[in-house]
Amino acid sequence: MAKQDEQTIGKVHTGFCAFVQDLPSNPSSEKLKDLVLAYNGIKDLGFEVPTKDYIKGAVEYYKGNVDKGDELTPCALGDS
Amino acid sequence: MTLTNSGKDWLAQNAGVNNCFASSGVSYKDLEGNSHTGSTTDVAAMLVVASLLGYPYTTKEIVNGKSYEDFVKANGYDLDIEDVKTVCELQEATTPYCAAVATPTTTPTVTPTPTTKCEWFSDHMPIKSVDIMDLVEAYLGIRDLGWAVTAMDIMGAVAYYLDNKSEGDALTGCSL
Repeated sequence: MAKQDEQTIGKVHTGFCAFVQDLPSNPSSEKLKDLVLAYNGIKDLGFEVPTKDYIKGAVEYYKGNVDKGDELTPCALGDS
Repeated sequence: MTLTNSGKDWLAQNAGVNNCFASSGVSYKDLEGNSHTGSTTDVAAMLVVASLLGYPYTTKEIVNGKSYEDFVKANGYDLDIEDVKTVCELQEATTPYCAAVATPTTTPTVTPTPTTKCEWFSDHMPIKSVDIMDLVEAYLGIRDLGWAVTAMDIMGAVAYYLDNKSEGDALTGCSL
């Protein structure tokens, strides 16, 4: 998945990467739960969770697998 | 997506209020052990997270002292991400979903009575996963085993599957 600047993408990705960026260092299953709710349209996080890969990527971040997370999401946490 | 009636009943009994799905007032724990209060849907979403993370998170207590593995034993299937939406719809319905049977507060004293049901269990011992699947399908009305399968029968079959005959007997009313 090509990495793009969040600010150039618009609503689809804006906010998602910021939301998950601390998962590798500060794992929070509540955050993962909120992503599941947002994917199902139950909770508004201020950004969209358009595919299940976003959730699966966040799960990889939670586990500390940053590279795998980057493969599944538009984020590039491994570069930071 | 596979959320069976047994799975719904489990959620209503363990993640609801008065055995019904609830939009608030449900105490649960996240996978780091922190306590929260929310809805039946919140619990369902946390169960999905445990499933996605896999073992050992599937064994961690989430609600009412029970874990994702406990849920799967009742539901018969894993909980999918999309199932959370179903839970939310049942929770927000004009009449929220309620469990068909109440959770017993004490282990019931059962007088074993041989029935067609008990003959079925006896014929299928040791219980295999395919037997549990048959029970779930019968419970859902997909299969006819010749007797009415209840959620307790399915939980009993799971106990037999786990080689816990005494608990299985208590749940099914049989004496195996």
